[in-house]
Amino acid sequence: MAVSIFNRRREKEPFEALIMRHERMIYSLCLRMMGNRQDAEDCAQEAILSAYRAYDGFRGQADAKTWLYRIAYNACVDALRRRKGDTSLEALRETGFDPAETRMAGPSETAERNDLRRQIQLAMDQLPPDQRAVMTLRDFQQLSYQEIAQITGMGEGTVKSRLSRARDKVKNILLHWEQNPSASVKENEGRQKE
Amino acid sequence: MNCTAFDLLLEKPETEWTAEERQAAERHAAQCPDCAMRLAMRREMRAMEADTAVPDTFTASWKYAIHAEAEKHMEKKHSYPWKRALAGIAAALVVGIGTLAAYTNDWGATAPIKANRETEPAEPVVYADDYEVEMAEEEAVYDSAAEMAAPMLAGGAAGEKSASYTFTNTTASSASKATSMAKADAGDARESKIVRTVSLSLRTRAYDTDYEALSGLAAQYGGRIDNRNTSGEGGSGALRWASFIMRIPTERLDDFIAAAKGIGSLASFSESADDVTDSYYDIDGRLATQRAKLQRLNQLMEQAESVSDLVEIESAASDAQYWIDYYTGQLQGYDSSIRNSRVYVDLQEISTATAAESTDLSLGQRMINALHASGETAVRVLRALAVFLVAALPWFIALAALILIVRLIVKRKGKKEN
Repeated sequence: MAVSIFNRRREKEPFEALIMRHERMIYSLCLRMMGNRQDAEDCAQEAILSAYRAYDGFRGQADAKTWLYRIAYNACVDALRRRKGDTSLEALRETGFDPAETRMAGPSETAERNDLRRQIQLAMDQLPPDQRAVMTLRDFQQLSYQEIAQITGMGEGTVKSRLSRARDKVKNILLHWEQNPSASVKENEGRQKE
Repeated sequence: MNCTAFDLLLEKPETEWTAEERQAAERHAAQCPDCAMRLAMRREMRAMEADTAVPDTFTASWKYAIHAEAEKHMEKKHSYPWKRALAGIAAALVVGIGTLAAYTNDWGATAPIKANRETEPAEPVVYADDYEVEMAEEEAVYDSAAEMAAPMLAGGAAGEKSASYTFTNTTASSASKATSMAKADAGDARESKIVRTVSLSLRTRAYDTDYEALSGLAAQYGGRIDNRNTSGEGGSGALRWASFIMRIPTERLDDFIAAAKGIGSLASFSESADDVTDSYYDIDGRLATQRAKLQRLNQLMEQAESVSDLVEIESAASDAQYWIDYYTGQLQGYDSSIRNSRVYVDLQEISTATAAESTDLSLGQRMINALHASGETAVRVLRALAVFLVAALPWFIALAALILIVRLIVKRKGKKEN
């Protein structure tokens, strides 16, 4: 649903109020893109600052949600370019997660769910930024193909093909790990060393 | 249900599935590990998104960052306000002074004059060395100037030779120059012969007084009035006008001009100085030639032995005398023009009614007149401003480029330090 930042008198909504309404959306996108909370907070804050600096020039050419998403997406892509190597496993360990420990723990519904979530995040970290973005925007945040195309600057056809490849890749990784539980840890540790 | 249909179903939110679709999906997932994983992925992703919570610290941190950014922006905006004011005043001064200069000096009204070093001689042309003149007891070879003189007798009594002048013209200039230089000695400097002509146009409201003043001014400076014309009736009739042609001694001409400019108001003034030195000495040289020729002919006449010789010599002498009189008259005319400069003076009466009419104008008319004059001035000023801005454009571009470079350097330094 398009949200106008202009009221009846064509006055712009205060910036803080705008961000408060979309704060969770921005944070969630950055979290999926960056793979860990710390990087996600940094990236989201950078995106909000960029939006603040550009807010004076924003005249409602696009709806506010798309505009903010676009800024957040660009901030994440820039941050990923600056980042070297796959630190997602390292970052997860910093938060207390250890895949080896999880494997050794007894199966429980919650543990299985957490395990799957973290594996999904790990698998997504293997994706290039553009596939990661379309998967996040479609499968996590349930945006339409048109909205995703506007945010990423790709055509709708490109969005669909990238999404299909992303889903296949993540699915294959998860299936591989399911069939080879120890491989998931070793692969990620190996990738970390590289 | 096959995998393709399952994929299509996954495009729809689960909340929109029908019961049949749900059962079909569950059955297919039980049989297809790939599709089962796809379904699990999708459900888990939805749940992950629903469970995502914004950390408390995040909200506080971005609000703090925004406030810090806003304060930094305000500091920048209000820092050193006097600098902005000073820059504004400096820019206004530059534009104002430049426009005034363009307006006052009429910039761009004339094209720049290029010095043509190829055509301008480095030194004045000296003709004295271009010609050689010899008196020779041989047959004369006459150029075009000499053709004006009567042909000298060739041959004649034994031993008698006619006097002749041989002109060796080493330049392509006219024969008149050759003739004029015949008497010139390379070591002597010729006196410059300049004819000055002055033209004044005067306006007056006191026509009678100024007319009398002008009429007496020529005699006051030792000159005379050669010609005088007047027209108009004055009073309520046509405006009066007078023109004078005066001859004023050249040595007192400047004083005369200063005095004439004080009569009425000066509308226009022009002066020319014609250098007639070459022409003057050209004629002088020809005169000398004819005189020498006449002298020689008179000598020949005394020695003539036959009537026919005598007749021919007399005819030639008569022609020479004619040219002597002619050139003498020309020289006298030059001398007169050089000694007494010609002055043309026009005196135009200005209507006194014009001044009276202006006081009878209504307030509205006066406002309109003033607005019209102001508008014309504004147009002239705007034109001068445009000329100045175009003339100063290269400097503005250079200054802008310099400022841009300095700002880029400062910005990069700031980034490196950060």
